Amino acid sequence: MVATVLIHEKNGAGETDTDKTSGTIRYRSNDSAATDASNPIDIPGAGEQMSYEKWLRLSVTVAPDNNITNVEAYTDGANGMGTGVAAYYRVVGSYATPAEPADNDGLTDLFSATSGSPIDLEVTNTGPFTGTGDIADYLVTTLGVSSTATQGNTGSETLTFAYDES
Amino acid sequence: MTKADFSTHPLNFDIDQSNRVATGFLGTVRVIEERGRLFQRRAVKLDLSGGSTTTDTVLIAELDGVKVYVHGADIVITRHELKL
Repeated sequence: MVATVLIHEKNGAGETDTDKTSGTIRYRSNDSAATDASNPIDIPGAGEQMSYEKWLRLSVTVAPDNNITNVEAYTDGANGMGTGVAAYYRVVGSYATPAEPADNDGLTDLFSATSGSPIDLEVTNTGPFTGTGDIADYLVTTLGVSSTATQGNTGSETLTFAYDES
Repeated sequence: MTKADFSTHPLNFDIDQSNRVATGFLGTVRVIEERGRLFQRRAVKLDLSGGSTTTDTVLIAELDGVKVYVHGADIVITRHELKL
C-alpha cells in the first residue's frame, strides 16, 4: 500500500491537528491555524518582531508497505519573502504550546536549509517508521519582521518535506 | 483525497514485498541481486505564501552504493544523494 503522509500544523495546549498538506500556512501574531487576515505581524519601528511559532509534523494515515525513513525538510536556499522578512527554524522532539519568541536567539535561518544541506527531522524521534500516527520530529518555524519590511503579504516561498518510502 | 496521496501520482511505482520489483506506468524495474533494494523518495512542497502544494516522487534502485534514479523518462545513475 502506498503510504499517505500529511503535514499537520499543531496548535494550542492540546496539540490540535490541522491538515496543511494541501492548505496554507499563515504566520500570525497569535497561535492559530486560521488563514484569514486577522492577527497580522506588526512591522516594528526598530528591531525584529517575531511571529508566533508554527509547529509542523508529518502524520501517517495509511501505513507504508515496509517503512518510512530519511525524513527531511529544505528550502530553495534563497529568501524570496521580501525585504525585512526573515524565516527561522528549530527542531524539537516533544510538543509545547506555540509561543511568540522574544527574538531569534537559538533559531537558525530557514533558508540555510537546502536540498544539499537539509534539516534532519530524525534527531530525537528516529525511524524507520512503520505504522500510522505522527512521525519524526517537529519542525518549528517563525517569521521575523524588521522595520524595513513593507506592508502586505510576503513573497512566495516553498518549504519541502521529503522522505523515503519502501 | 489530499495532494500528498502518491497512489495516483503518475511517477509512482508499486514495489513488491521483496523491495526488488517495482511496477509503474513506464514499466517494471528489477533489482536482481538480494543485497540491492528499491525505494521511493517523496517530496511535498508547501507554498508558504498560500499557493498550491505540489508533490514529486522518484524511484531509486540501490546496489552496492550505486543508485539509479527513475524519474519518468529521466534516468540518472550516480553514487550521489539526489533530492527532489
